[in-house]
Amino acid sequence: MNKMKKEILHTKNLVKHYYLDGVIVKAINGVTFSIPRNKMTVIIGPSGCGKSTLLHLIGLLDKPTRGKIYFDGYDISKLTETKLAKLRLKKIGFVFQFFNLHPLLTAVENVELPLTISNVSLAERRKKALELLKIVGLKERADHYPNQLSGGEQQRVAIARAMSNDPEIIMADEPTGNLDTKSGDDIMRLLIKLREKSTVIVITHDADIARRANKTIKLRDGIIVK
Amino acid sequence: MKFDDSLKFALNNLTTRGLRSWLTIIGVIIGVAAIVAIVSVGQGMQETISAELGSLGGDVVFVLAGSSFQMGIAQAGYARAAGELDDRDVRVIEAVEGVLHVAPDIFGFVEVSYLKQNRTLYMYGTNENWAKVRSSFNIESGRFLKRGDSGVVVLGNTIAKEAFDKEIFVGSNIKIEGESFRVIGILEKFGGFGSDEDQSVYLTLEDAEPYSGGFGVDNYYAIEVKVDAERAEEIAEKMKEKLMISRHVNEENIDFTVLTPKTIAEMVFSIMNTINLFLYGIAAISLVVGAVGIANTMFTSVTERTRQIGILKSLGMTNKEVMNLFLVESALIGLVGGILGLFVGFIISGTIGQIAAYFLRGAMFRTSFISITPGLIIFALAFSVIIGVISGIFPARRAAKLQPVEALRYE
Repeated sequence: MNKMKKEILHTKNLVKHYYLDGVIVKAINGVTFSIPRNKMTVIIGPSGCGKSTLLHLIGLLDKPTRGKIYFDGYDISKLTETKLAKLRLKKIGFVFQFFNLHPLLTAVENVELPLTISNVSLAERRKKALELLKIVGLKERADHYPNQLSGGEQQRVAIARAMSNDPEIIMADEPTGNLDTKSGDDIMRLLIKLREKSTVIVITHDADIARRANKTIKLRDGIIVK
Repeated sequence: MKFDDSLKFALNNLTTRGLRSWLTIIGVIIGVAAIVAIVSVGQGMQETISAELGSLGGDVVFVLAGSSFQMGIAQAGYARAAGELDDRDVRVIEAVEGVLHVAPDIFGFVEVSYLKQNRTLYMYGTNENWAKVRSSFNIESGRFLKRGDSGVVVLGNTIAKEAFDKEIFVGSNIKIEGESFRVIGILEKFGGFGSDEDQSVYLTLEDAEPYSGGFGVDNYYAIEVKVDAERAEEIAEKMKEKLMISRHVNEENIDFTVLTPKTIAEMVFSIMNTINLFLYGIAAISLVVGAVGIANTMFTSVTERTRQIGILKSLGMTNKEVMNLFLVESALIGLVGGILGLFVGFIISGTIGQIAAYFLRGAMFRTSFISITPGLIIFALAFSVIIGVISGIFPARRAAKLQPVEALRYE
């Protein structure tokens, strides 16, 4: 019980193989690890080592070929797609490398999106979204569309969106990978600040970022290395 | 996600792809407009015919030689089964209680000449009772035929006033098949179902016999009977019974047909319903094309928005919510198409009504040619939304079933 409280997530012999153009890709080959609650964990490794695949698995966006994932006490292999979606909505906030903002929605509407899906009233969600945009320094750009924002700004909107539902865990997949150094530093400062309230998992191949983490998981060819 | 948020999403998506959305909506507009126009004109025609049949008088029963009732009015006359109608039948009919007047008639087509102009016209051969049977027909000038007349003719109103360059008046002489006839009367204009009568010439049975192709005195095309309007069906049934006895026939080998206003109406409506069914079929095809258009647009939209679907799913939207999002969108296409289709359909049916009124301006129809009921409006709107939803089901299911991680990878 105590262990469950300390760890928000752990995996057991996780395997993910998939077919690409008829060729089997062994992305993850039996990894077992745990993620401490309210800490920042960095998953680091070279390009193509399976980092993003691993994040998709523990982010409940994909299903493992074999092995178990225990998320906040749930064995996710036993959950329906609807239950998985509800878990993503309530407990996880994503920050993607390519931002993945909805192109037809303004910055504030993008931040509101998880709240909109959660049936929160317009007034309430707008208030919260504007507060979050203020935290990431973009309140004045609330009515701008993603294509009117720079990469760094879009990623800050994505972080505000990830925070909007007060998730227990924020997963960031190479959040600075597509940004210049200054914007990357801004984003990292925001993410480090987030660990005060949430568990943060960051995927990166940047060793500087790994140094700021509470825990580092090194991945190579789909396995964890020391 | 709340319904109004889904609606906002759908509107946002439709307006972003404005031209494509409108092209899809036009497909629905055409289908709905076709249905609305056909239904409203069909119902309007039915009401018009009902009114006109009523105006002909619910008190005239036709007895026709031949028994091919199911083939329709004209065919019944041509059927020429074993029996022929003659004076004996006239007397049997006259003896039935409730029968007021009886007029036998024969018909044919004749060449009429007036002031060196020739016209081929419809000819009735009848007797003095015809004017009493068709009491709704009045004489405009002169008089109708009477017993003992010979070499005289009564003209329908259109014949007298419009068929020839110069109007024909009572007292004029015209030639029918080369024989000279004196005009003794001109009927008032009737219009509507009386248009045929407006364009006919009326001779005595004796004078008409040479031109009526086999019919003649004592061998009638029809016997027209004026009866007590309140009991028309009952009297017609009695007439049929008496005629069957006098002609020694039963239901199996019956050789004549009794047509009451009700049976005439039923036959006309049966024909109209067949025509309507055919037209509905055409309209339904155009709606199917509209539905395929919606499905095509929605499939394209799902493909284009795969990444957006991935985003929504990664943020926690369930399969059902994604499906609803697309269904609201396709239903919206159906609804907008339905509303505009209604307007276009009304314009089309109104135009058809105007055109019909123009061409039949002399006909004095008592009702308009179109009928727009609240039921039709509700039906058209509900139907178009249902079409939208049905067309959207498969694309929406495809969207809902996308795996979030694959959708996010989609370029």
